[in-house]
Amino acid sequence: MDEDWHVYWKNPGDSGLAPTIEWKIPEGFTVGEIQWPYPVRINAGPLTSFGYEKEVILWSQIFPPKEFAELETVEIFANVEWLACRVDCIPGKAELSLMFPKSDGPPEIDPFGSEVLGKSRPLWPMDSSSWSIRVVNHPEKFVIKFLPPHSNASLKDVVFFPDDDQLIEHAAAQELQTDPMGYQLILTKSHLMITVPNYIEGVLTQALSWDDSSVHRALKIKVMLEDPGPASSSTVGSLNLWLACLFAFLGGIILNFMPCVLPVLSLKILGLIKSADNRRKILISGLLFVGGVVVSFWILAGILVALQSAGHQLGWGFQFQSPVFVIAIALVLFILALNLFGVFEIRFALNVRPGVTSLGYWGSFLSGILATVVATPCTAPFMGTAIGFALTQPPIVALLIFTCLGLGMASPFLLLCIFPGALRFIPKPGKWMYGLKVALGILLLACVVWLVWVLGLQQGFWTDLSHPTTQNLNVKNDKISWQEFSPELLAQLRTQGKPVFIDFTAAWCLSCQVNDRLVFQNDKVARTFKELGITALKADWTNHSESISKTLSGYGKNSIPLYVLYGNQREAPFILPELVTVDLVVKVLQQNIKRD
Amino acid sequence: MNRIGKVLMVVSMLFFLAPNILHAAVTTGEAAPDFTLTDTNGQSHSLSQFKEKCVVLEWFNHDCPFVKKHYDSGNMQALQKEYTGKDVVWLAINSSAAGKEGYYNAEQTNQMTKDKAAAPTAVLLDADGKVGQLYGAQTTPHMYIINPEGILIYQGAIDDKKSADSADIATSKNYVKSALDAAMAGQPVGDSTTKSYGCSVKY
Repeated sequence: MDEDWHVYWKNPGDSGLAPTIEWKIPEGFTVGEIQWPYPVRINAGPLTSFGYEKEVILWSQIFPPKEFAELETVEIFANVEWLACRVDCIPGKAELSLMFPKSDGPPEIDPFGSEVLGKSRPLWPMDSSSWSIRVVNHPEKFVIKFLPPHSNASLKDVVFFPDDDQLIEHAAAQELQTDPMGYQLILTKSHLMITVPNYIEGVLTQALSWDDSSVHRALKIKVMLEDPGPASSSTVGSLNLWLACLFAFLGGIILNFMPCVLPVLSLKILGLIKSADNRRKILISGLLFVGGVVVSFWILAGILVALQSAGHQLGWGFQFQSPVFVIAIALVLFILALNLFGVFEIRFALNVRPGVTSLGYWGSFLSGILATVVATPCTAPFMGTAIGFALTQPPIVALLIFTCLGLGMASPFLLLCIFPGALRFIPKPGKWMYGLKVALGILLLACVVWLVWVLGLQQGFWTDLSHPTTQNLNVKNDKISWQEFSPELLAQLRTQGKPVFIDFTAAWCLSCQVNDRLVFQNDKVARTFKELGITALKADWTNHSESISKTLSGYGKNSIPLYVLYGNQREAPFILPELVTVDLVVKVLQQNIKRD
Repeated sequence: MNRIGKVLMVVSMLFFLAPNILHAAVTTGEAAPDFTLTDTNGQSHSLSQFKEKCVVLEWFNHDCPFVKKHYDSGNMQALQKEYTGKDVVWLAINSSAAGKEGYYNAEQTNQMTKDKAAAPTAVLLDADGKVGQLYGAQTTPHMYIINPEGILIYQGAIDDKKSADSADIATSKNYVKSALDAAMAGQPVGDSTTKSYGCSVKY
């Protein structure tokens, strides 16, 4: 075609007409569907058409009958009609014919044909059955949620071309957003849509290649339409900056109640009671605590971002993958516990006494740092989503989200410092404090024991009994038989259409351990796994693992716990919340998996 | 968690409820927006002045092969004559911008109407495309039908054979005819929204 002229795709868009081919073939022959190369958008004012510029090859396969001996001459005719437009339009038609003279020799390859085929093939939309693609039906929008199998795939100018010409507004902008599950493309529903279809069919293109081929820019998709519904509480339709900040803040608040953080904070509050008479000092120490928390979040985020941009696959809580770090934290917590038991008095840190101002202030700052550091193995609800989002954003945005996380975590304590009146409800210091100190000390010691256990696992001193390996598949019936996760095993199970549950966990991840003890070792949960024939995979992140980090970021996450469920349909995975209960897991499993 | 999940859903839904500013278009079954345009004889027409009458809006461009299909065959003129004879108001609208394909001044347009023996109630000029875009007219031809209550009862193609070949008219189902006949008989319109086909409107 000359410059500026175009012909149309099978869905021509707002205007135009798709080419048609009417075949005349000998009896017994059949013609396959036209292989439509992926189209481009052609904009004219407020209207948008889909078509081809310069050149297009429409390929159809013709099949001879089964008992065809090729002993007679075969002639094939095609009546082709098309519409070519620039601004003005000209309908065109041609009668084409192709003759195959009779021959009894072996078939020959037509060099022109194979050249044309070689040129066209990369332009055909490729199969996407190994992809995770969902389309959600919102009141005015369709949202295509997709996750490239290669999580490092870069995307540019993603456009969806629907097969149906009454599905979406062709001229509307299609916004691409990052999503905890990968990406989502927002489409505006057509005002011409009569009924919402069951399936969404079309072609998803981008300016770069979807795979390593550097040519495959188009994906063929056919996906059942889903209703938004309360599908997953940790997946938000559209996570923008402010929502991510809000999540980070909420997640921060929840962190206060995590088992390792609670003692550290309780000690801070005890310190406050002692000095409840000096409002100014309390306020200053409160602010310093906030400073300590926020600065350590910045440092953690900074290290994480820097290491990630240097090409390392790391995630939240990565520091606990280092044995040296685990030893250091275990020591600090141990010393604190001894201090609480009264083995020795250190005027360090946690007891802010009026008069011991300089160390007291430093103590506030340091306990902010300590609280943050011991909080990282606990991923609270909301937090995972916010961190996953933060790490896909430019550094300045990531910094803002981590600041919100820190502010959220420090906010309850800061509030107490601003309104020390609230402390009046706590009884006056006395004997009960001794008892509380011992209780908190025991909690801290438990944390130390846990850290030593983590260390032992990392160093291979002992193995984890709650992480059975494949050998004890046939042990007791009321246990889930976990298999070790690998991306290859997952892909294999998925192609077999088997339901799969993946538990991303680590010994140092406290939330994971709590979930494991309370939920995944529960008989009812184990029975449900068995009844529904779910293959259970455990991805252990206790030590650094590139492939697990990569898989996590594929789900838009950089933190654990993460629980992923694949149903027995070729649908996108279901993500469970960070903190689960027996009832919730059983319900989710039963809802998402159909019995054979 | 469940309750939190629900709250999150509501929050996330809000992002999809943002009004769609880009596409002014009309919805079948809703009131057709009013407009005022000047016809080729300098007379002004508003949709609201035709209350209690059925109104057909026909977007055309005489240089477009799909419009030619229906005019050169006499199909469009026959429809215009039949239904204006049944008290239907038929407004042919040209939204080609000045200088674009299909744009002609009032005098030239009158000459073409006469040459083609077209019989609309009036031929309206919409060179700034305002009414075309108000109705979301995408192609020529593009047809709209408004009932006597001012409700849009049909929008879309003239018929179901998407081609520029006038030989297809005989075997195609004419949506405009079916819709008008149904409306006049007090019946609901079967196909009330279809995808129009043809050249793009030259805004």
